[in-house]
Amino acid sequence: MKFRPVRIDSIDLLILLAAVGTLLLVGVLLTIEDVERFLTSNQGSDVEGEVIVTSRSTTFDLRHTREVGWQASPGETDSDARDNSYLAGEIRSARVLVSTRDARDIALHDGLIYVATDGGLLVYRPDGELAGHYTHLNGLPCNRLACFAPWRGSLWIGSEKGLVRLHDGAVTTYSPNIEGGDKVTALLPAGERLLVGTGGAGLLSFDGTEFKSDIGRLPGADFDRITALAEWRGHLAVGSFERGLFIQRGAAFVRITPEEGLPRGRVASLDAGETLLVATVTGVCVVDERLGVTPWSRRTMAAAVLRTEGATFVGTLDGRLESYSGGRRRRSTVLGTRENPVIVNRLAEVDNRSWMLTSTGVLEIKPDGVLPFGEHPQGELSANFIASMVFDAAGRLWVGYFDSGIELLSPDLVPGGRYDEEVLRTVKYLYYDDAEGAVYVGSSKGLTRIGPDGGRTNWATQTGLINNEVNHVQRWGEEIVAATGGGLSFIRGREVRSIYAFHGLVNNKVFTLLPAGDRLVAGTLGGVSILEGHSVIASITPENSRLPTHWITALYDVDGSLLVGTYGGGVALRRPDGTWEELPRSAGGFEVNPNAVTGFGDLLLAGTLDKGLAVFDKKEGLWRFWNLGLGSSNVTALAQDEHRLFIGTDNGIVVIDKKTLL
Amino acid sequence: MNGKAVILITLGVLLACSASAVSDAGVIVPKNIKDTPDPSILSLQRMRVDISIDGQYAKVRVLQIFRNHIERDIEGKYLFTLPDGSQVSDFAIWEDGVRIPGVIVERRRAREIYEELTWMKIDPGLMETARAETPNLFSVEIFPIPAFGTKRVEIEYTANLEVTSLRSFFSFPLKPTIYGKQSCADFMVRLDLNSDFPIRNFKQAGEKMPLEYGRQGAHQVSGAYAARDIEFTEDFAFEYEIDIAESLLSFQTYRDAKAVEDLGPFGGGKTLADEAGYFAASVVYNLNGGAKGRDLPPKDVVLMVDTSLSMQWDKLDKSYEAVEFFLRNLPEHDRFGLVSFNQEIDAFAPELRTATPDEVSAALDFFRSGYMMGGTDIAGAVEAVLWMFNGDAGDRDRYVVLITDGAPTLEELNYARIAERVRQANSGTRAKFMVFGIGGDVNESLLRTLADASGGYYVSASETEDIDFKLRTFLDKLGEKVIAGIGILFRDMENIDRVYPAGEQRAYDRSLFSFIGRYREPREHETASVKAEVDGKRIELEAGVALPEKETEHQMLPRRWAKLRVDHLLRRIDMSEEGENVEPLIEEVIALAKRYKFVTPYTSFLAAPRALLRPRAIKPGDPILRVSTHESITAVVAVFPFGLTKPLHYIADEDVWETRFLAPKWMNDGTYSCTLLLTDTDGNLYEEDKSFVIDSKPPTLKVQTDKKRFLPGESVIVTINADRDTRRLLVRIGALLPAEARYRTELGASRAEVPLPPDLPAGTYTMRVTAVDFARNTTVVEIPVEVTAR
Repeated sequence: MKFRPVRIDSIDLLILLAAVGTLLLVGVLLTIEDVERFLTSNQGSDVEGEVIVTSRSTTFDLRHTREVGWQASPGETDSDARDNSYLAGEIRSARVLVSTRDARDIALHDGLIYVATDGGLLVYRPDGELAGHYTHLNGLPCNRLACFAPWRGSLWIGSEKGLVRLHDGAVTTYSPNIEGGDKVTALLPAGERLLVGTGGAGLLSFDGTEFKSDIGRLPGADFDRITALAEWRGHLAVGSFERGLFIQRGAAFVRITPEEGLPRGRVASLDAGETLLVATVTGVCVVDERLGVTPWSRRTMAAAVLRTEGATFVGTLDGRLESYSGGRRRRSTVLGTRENPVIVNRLAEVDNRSWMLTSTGVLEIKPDGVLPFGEHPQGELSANFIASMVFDAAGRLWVGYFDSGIELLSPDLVPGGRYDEEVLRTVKYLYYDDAEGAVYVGSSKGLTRIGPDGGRTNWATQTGLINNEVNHVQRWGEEIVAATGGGLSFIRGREVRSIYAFHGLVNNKVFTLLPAGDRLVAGTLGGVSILEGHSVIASITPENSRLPTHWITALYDVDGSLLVGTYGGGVALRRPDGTWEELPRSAGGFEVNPNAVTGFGDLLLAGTLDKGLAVFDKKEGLWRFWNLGLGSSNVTALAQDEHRLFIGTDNGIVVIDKKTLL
Repeated sequence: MNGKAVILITLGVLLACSASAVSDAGVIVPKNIKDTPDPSILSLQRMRVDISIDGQYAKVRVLQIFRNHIERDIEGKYLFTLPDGSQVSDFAIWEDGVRIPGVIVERRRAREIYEELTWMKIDPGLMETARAETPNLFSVEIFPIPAFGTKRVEIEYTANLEVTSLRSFFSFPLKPTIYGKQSCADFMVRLDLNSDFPIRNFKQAGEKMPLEYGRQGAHQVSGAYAARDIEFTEDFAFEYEIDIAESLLSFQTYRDAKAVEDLGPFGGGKTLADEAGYFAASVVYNLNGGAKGRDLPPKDVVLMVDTSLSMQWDKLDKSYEAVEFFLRNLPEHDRFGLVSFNQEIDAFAPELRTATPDEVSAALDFFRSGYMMGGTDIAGAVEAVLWMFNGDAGDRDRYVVLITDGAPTLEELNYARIAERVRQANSGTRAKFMVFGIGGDVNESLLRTLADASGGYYVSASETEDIDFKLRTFLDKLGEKVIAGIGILFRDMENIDRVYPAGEQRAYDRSLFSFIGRYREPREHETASVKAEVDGKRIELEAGVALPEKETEHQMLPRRWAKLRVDHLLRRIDMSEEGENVEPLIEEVIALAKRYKFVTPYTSFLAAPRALLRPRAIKPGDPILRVSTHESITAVVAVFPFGLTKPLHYIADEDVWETRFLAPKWMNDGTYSCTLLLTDTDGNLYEEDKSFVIDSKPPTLKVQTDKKRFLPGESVIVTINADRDTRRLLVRIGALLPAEARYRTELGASRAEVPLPPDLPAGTYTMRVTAVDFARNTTVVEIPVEVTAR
């Protein structure tokens, strides 16, 4: 059935309002079940409840690495990539490297403790021994997991790519066919229904097979991004991203906003008891039965609330756990430091124990403080957002993180060193210079050379660099060239020479470089500039060529031709004679991430913003987009050694055998 | 990488830049609603501009009343772009019928007060010496502007008016630049011009605001212009000639021993009486009886242009503009050299070249194809280029035109020793240093010293102003005979105290030279004589003057003297050797600045109305969010509109909080706001909404010319439709001087006019239109222009 909007004509509306009014007059409130019955009985008549067919469900045995492969359809979008009919080929050698430190929720299921993280699913025995770590390679739709709910004997997991059922070691993913519905942010069992809060499609209900938007279409349900769900005194409470709190009363929702006393419209967490405790990013309040709002904890960056038998806890965005009892604050536990802040994601009571899920792991709340719980998987990364990767001569993989410094992996991919000083924290590009045996780190704080002996040399605007935002680095003859947000800097020993748009660059913001003999090709926000020496001799723009768009993000040499990756215009190929080769366009163009290009054999590979790994086969003349085996469709970095391809994403690294792509 | 990689986090810089584009006459940005002025929200109800000029010294007082048209209080940011070279002398906001004046406070104390008040969410408007990114921009937070209420703001500034070629020019900037628009319901400008020298040919520069003249005589012009519902489309500007047949000396005095100066609440409540008398002795030289006398002999000129990193962006653009102007205006009998210097020195040619059009074009190409390097060794560069004058110069005068911001960063950094090295290097060559300082942060002390020591000339311009008038003035000085060795003598010099030249150390023909000093005791009869030397001949102007016990007409004299004294002290401080005790000098600077309301490196202008929320500095990043806070803050979290909530981590070395983020793909270019949540050591929570700008596209342009073919001598009219965030549009045809396109409200587009020289050969020329937006994204569009023979 196709998606149809709810239609309430004027007469129906009167009937509905009259019914609600009458019920309120006699002081009887409808419950969730009442609402469900009401809607069910009126389907197709008074109120047309919307039904959404589950697009697909896929089931995998969690205990085995799943088989993943291509989407072999040139020119299509990734909308069908979830369909396992495209599964083909075997990538048994696939391996995923992620971080599981960012913990989002905790649940007890079949005697084991499950933790939803940004890097997959962790399973612990109650004493904290790690019993398993499952990722998208085990059948999860992605590694970003948000929430749990036990329902009908199964553990249900809300993920960024759908609703997941975990039952008897098998995972099944259910994806609602509605825009924004994939991102599941909150779950709440409600009898025969599982209520599913989403990050873009409001509230859905799920009966085990189908999603419906019925309750989310009730009058007053003016929310599309849901942050929290709770059943409170038989009624549904919905926390929204920025539109306040919604309490279902009868067949409608009542909205509570800052005007009614809510500290802020962005609700972070709910705890339902006699009263409803509501955490917002600027304070906690109590909502009573008459929907009166009373401040409870003023001016707190509240991220989570939890009432237990002995105490009430508030976890905050600035990494504190406040304990209250008898209406007074008893203790404040501070996690993290100003230099390394920690966020509390959630507080939960599971297995009669109180838990704190934070951006750095799971902690158990004890009467006298908090204790770290559980061990992390061995060999996991320090962070998930990969900005750049490069191999050195010793076969070590340097992994640059978006905002967590650099990690050094041994040839067998065991983490073996960290560089996390401030100048290396926000990595943009890593370059290994064979000539010197040194690694150059382009970051938002300038350029740093890490020599073979580990010695550092920094360049920033104070020491001659034209701009501190270093997007790319290349050796060009005797010079190291830094592509920056303010132009190009040429480094030779202690001398730094720079040019920018004043000197002829087509734009100041340079994202990528390609040395080509005596010439240097620079890809910028405004097109391509070609340099000889330090002078621009020509510029290529959409106005004077067939370049598809201005913003150039990657350049690559393909047998003497210039492969140009763009932001929004896909990839173009310029032959040595200046003519442009028609590359099949795919899905109206795509965004190539900065410097995420490589190639081997007849394959050109480009990391895209939201379409996974784009692979062009020169022999076939076909584009393929591969994201099924990736933790994220945002491929940010590529690296390769003799046999393996390393695919960096904003959710870890996937390692595959290159033969898989041939 | 995910999302839009090109992000500009603004506030401080971008808002300031964008606002300066529309803030010429003073605007209030309703910042809790949007980041640009909007007359439908906050309109300029009333504006009074009082301009009084006395002895080539202007005092401009501006009163503005803004009206809030909406039903909620507005947090406003008042912005006023000061004309270059001017100084704020007063500022006040009215609140509940009470005038709340700004005061001058010692800089460190001002900072403390500022921090305290901002933390109490009480706004202090703070003006310090201009920063590079916001030259001449005076800004103050104003809160609240009550719903449907009004806000009254007063600002006063002063400025010296130069005389060049017996002409003087004044401009009050009203026209918003680039794409701004400003109107006023009730506008009036009043002018009261008094000159000791006879004046003539008073002429307004524009036509939109014709003065209704009151008095108009040989020494005075007064008038007013009033209008309702006026849209500002041009500046209020005028020029006049000094009508003298020969050199003339004038003398002004001021003394009011009972005058009391209130230092205000931050000055400890002290009061002062001033026993001193003040005088200004001004000479306008006219050695040739008004004849232009510009049949100048051939000269040798070496242009030295600073291409170090500190010159990046607008400074380099202005430098190129200046180089092009100088070279293209040199007579062909002149010889020139062109040198760019940073930590290296690169010359267009090893020897001087004749200033033919071809050589000039080649030199300009050389300059464009250079590169920038990190540091500047001014002394080393000067020493290296002076050899270019070697060889037979005949009777040619030698000039070094130095274009720089004067920020030495390499080798010798001590200003005094730099000046001495330059003097020694130049002792044989005896070239005159004509110094064009560029930038809001220009090092005036050093550059003026270099010019003065060689008998040259110094002028400065900010990187954002229209420098055409200054360039012409500067060029006029090249080759002009210098009136040197100027001094002033009184019969009783013991009675005279601390006399300073007001401006340059030397004068030029047909220009003004003034001394301002103090006298200790009144004298009914005194003789003042100003002596000088031109071409080895002594010239002397003498006048009988009175040094009165009480004379209060020229009230600006004490302030003018104090400003010169402060400048003198600051130069002494700058030129001091390491270890020299400069504390007494600093104390005197602070005392004078407080008394006469100067912003100096040691004092700040603090306007502390009961206004709210001074934004913390968020510096440009890409895509880094940086926030500086009070030291008591223990945590900062950013809540972004697209769903990301991210803590900022503290960087102790930089005393700043920072996080890196990416905006999602679906966010189009535009301005967005994020909320900063801050907690302090006491557990208090603070919120601030901040905006950031996504600007991922270079400007798009649509360029049209008024016709296809042009004749030499005609003008090419270029109409350009550009994105709204375009901050500069430059049109260049072939090797001709570029023209800047200005936004024309009536056209809804920008327009430039490029005159074609009458002797331009027929042919097809390339017209390059360069657009730069606030994110410094650049677009160049090239269009052929066909010139046919007459």
